[in-house]
Amino acid sequence: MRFFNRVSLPTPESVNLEFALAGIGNRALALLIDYHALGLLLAVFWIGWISFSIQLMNFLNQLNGDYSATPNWLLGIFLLANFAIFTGYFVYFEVFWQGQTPGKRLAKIRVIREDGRPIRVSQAALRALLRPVDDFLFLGVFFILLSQREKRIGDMVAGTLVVQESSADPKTALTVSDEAQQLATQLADMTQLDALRPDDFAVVRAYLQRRSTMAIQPRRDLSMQLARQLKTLIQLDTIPTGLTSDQFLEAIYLAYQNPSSRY
Amino acid sequence: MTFDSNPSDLTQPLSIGNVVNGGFRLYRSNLKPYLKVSAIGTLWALIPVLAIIPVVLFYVTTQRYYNLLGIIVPAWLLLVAYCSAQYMANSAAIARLAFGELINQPETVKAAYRYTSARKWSFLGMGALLSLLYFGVALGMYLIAAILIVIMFASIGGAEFLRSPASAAVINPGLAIFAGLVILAIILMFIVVFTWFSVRFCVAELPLSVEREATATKTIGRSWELTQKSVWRIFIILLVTFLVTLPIQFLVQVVATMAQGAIAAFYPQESSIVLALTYAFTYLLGLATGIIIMPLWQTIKAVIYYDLRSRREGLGLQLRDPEPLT
Repeated sequence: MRFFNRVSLPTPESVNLEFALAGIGNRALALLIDYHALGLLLAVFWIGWISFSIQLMNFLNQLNGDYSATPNWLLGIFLLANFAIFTGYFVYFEVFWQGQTPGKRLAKIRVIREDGRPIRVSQAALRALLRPVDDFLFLGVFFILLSQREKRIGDMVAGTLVVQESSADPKTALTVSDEAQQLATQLADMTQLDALRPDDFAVVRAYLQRRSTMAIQPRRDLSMQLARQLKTLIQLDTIPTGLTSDQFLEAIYLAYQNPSSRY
Repeated sequence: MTFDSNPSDLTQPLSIGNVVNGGFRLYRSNLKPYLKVSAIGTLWALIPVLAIIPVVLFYVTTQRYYNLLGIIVPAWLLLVAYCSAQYMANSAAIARLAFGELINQPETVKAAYRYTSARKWSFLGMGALLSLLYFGVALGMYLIAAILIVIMFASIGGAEFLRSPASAAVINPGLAIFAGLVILAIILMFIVVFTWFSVRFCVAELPLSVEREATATKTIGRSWELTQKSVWRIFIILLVTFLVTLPIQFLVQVVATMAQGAIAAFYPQESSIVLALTYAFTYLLGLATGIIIMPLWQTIKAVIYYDLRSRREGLGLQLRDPEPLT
């Protein structure tokens, strides 16, 4: 199954950039986070503004003058400020965080222009201004779900795409035992490491990276199975005694990763 | 020239958003077959409701033969059990189809349904067990709530408080706040505990749909074990999915309101016809929504299950030839 909706963007340098579109899930998650942050921001502003207004009116009432128009002004400013906070939140972050808001950053997605370049104020403003139509009238969801490039109305008007951050391989340091290191130096001579394909190596590395979060029994089974298959692939007769299957996999990882020991 | 940093999409565990995406993409690319299976399943669930109509009409018109109920009620209960099992087999077939696609071993609808249909009584057993478990949880919660309320009641003055609640609250307004907080905490506790259990059991039907050795009890255990370290993540996944389905439900509400308006326009008088039509229409609309939404939850659960197995058991970490679907 094609898990991601990928798009290929041509650049002026005739290099195609490939992106995975963000998808409804990531975008909804980002929106969920952003609206919580925004709600908090607005709540703080409301409390501040209301207490400011009350104190201001108390102060003005002590002076003698006609301040009956003041509450209307306060309300007007309040409404404008709400609009400014709502729009400004998205514009500010999308411009200064290269197309990301706090929610988008957590969901690992980003807004870009259709030619792959970062968005500017004009695009961010158009997206933010059309956001009420997309979000509060529930139109955005349908447009994202049904359009080929997952564009809500704001994206269509602004000419933007929302894409996933290219997730770099997690460079978690693998802890490797001493026994494995010893074996790794011998493996090159003993076996046909060249028989391993990059895909095989990738599987071993993925196992070693992720084993610590696996359940005990499945992990043991998987480790044994991988070790047995690898043993056949590299034409090793027996796994040296006293080594666990995990250590054997670590050794293969080291030996394969470090070509100097291979030649 | 094309840069592609991650050629095989599925070597890494999926993020929250991508689990939801995966569910939607599976549904979208199999819209017709999934909708068909969902419709068949929903029609099975409709049968007991339809069966009750002639019975009611019979008794309304005759007003006698009540001792026949001794046969009718058990027969109807059997029908409910059978139809529920059929419904579960159909919905599980969608989950199985989705999972098969995730591990690159797609099946025909027929084959998937044959597999889950053969286990329909296990699905029913699983459903019954889950109901019992939830009942047990609810019972436990009520006990805790009752104890808490008694303690709270005693601490704010017991019977004295009952005689003049207003005066007690006036003497010490802190008491009223305290009582309110306790009630709030109890409600919160109910929500949290039920959500937590729902998450732990949320993929219960998947093992039974794809793992050959699963049984009604084992499959619940599998769900429990797989979801162990991912409760929070799964909760967010389900929440985001729910949020995305809200607009669809909203659309249905709009249609329902419009239809009610139309019915009222055709039959201006408040009559039983209006009432019956409105009820029937709302019910049918609910069924239609169910048919549309159900496959989405099934595909989402399939992706959750796939991702959990990939995280907890290294599913997909294999050299070259894939294992056959068990």
